[in-house]
Amino acid sequence: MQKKTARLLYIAFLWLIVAAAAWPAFVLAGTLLALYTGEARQIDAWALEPRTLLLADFLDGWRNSALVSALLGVVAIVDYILLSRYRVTWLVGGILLPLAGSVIAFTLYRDPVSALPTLVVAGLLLAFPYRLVERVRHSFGEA
Amino acid sequence: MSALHRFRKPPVIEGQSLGARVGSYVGKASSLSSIIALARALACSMACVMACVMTWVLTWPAAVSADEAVLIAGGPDPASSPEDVELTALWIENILDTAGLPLTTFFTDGESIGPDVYFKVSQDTAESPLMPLARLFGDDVVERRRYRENELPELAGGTRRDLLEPLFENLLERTRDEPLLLIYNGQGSRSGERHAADASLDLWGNTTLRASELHALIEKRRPRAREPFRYLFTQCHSGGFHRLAYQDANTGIELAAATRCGFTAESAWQRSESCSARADDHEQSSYSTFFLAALDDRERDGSVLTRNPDVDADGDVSLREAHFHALELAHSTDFARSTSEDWLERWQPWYLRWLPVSSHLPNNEYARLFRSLATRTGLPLDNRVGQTLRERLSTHRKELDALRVERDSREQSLEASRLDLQREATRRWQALRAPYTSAYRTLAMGNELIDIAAWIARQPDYAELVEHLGVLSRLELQILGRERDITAVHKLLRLRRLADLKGQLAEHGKPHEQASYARLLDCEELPLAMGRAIPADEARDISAESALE
Repeated sequence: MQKKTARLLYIAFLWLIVAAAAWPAFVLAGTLLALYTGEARQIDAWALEPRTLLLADFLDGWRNSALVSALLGVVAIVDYILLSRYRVTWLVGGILLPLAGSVIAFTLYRDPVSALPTLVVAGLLLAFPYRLVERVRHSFGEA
Repeated sequence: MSALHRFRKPPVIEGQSLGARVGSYVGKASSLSSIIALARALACSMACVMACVMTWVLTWPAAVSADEAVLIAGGPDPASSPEDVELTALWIENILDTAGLPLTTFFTDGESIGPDVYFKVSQDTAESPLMPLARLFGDDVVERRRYRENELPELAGGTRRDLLEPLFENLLERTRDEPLLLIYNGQGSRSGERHAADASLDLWGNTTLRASELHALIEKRRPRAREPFRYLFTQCHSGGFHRLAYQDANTGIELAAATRCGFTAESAWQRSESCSARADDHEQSSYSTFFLAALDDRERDGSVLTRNPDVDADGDVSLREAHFHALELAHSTDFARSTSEDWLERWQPWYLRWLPVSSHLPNNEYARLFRSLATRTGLPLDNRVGQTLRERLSTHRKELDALRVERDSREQSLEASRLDLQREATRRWQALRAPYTSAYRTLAMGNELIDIAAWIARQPDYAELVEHLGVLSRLELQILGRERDITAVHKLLRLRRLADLKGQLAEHGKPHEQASYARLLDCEELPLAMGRAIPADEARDISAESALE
């Protein structure tokens, strides 16, 4: 019973972390790719506009993306349930997140090619907190 | 009993006609003088009615079909109103006159007596004997300035807010069903960073008018105008005035019921070059100069344009074509934008806002302008174009930083030289310490200042001071050059972004959003004069008279 509660608590925590980090990961991925290609609007806005505007844009995105972020949290849970059982599959744990990113690009964007790299990189970035939470779980003994 | 008392209003009886009432009154009038007075009053009333009808008939053509323009120009005081602003105002008057657009001009203090603009003494003129003294006390720039009264003809008034606002409000009211073009060529500032509409016009007498206040004024007087209200703002932070086109002055992208659109030389957050003009060629290189040149179909100096601004070759240069012309050719720190561009940037939804600009630009006017400007500046159009632009930006910034460091160090040296020399001079002439005292007045009236200036010029430190000033002047120009280069790179990056944004709107925009954008484009693509029914001179007279009334 205790083990089941701990497992449920862990799932809730994983969902919360992934859902909360989804939008920042997307913004970070977009910014990194934009920096790489040299087309970073946010860098120019940082220099040419009040930073409060950029922050307001960020918070607006966070609010609007809540539903998609929540679904990504669910994907993380499914990933955990499916892949954490065996050691071999555990090693690739979190792989569903970049895959979910590509699914989002192809289903929600009319021009998937422009959004695909950012969403895949965002999924990869999101896998970091996922793995980190997993690492913490392992260090406290398997839930 | 006086005639006035005899003409007391007769008591009104319910259901009684005016004729019956007058008839009953006449019947009651007992003397001949009353009848004569009544006849006089009727004659006066008839004359008034006739005058009103005549005025209406005379102004009627202007009221139904003539578009008009308003020019508000000049700084908040004479020291902020260079002669160039006056010359630009004259140029604008000439352009609008040629286009047959009646213009109402408000300039500095209007026709009040007293100097309101300054001009610089020509470099060819011999240096004043007091120049060494001016250099020593840091007044060398002001020393070459002279003040005079403006020479603009037919001014409707000054720009002091308490005087301008009612006149402008009248004009808005009078032209509420006509197209109106507002041109502002003066100074601007902003009072906060919360909203774009916190930007304001710096009007005469150090009064201000914020974009949000102007928005309220226009909303009040032209809330549902069928004809467009267009504007050109060239001052610092002028981008805040794009909010005039929106329903809410502070937030949202919903456009106002009446169509409003225009062009600004800067964003809401940056200072335009006119505010920090360190170069004498500012008026030649600014956004507004190229914009006006496109409308005038010739350069400011009268020479032939190097590029035909009429891109669609319909024989009319629209305001948008003039904007593109200026974007392509102006090399200044002005980071110009149109209302449709402002709207496009605000429209971008949250899920697209943080994505990098696509490497394959859609084929639209912004992409074409980008390619043209890139070719002009020698930018290779390959896959690395974004990175190349960032590299350029980084190089220019490094150069700018180095120049600023050099300038700061030079300024410190200049200050040290100044202080040494000032100490020497004030030890000899104590009165120099306090220029607003009787002792100093005595010194000045005795022509001793010229002797002091000659003494300063003979000092070995003075040559060093002059050298510092010369170097600083050159450094300022170099800094301005780098700032212009940086703006040019930002402009290229922004054109790529706009090209991408326009493509995104076509793909992701909802029908009502696309309609809003199309409405702004339609407004911007209108030519300077939209069509009128009366000759320019006549209409201008009517317009000036009405504004004065």
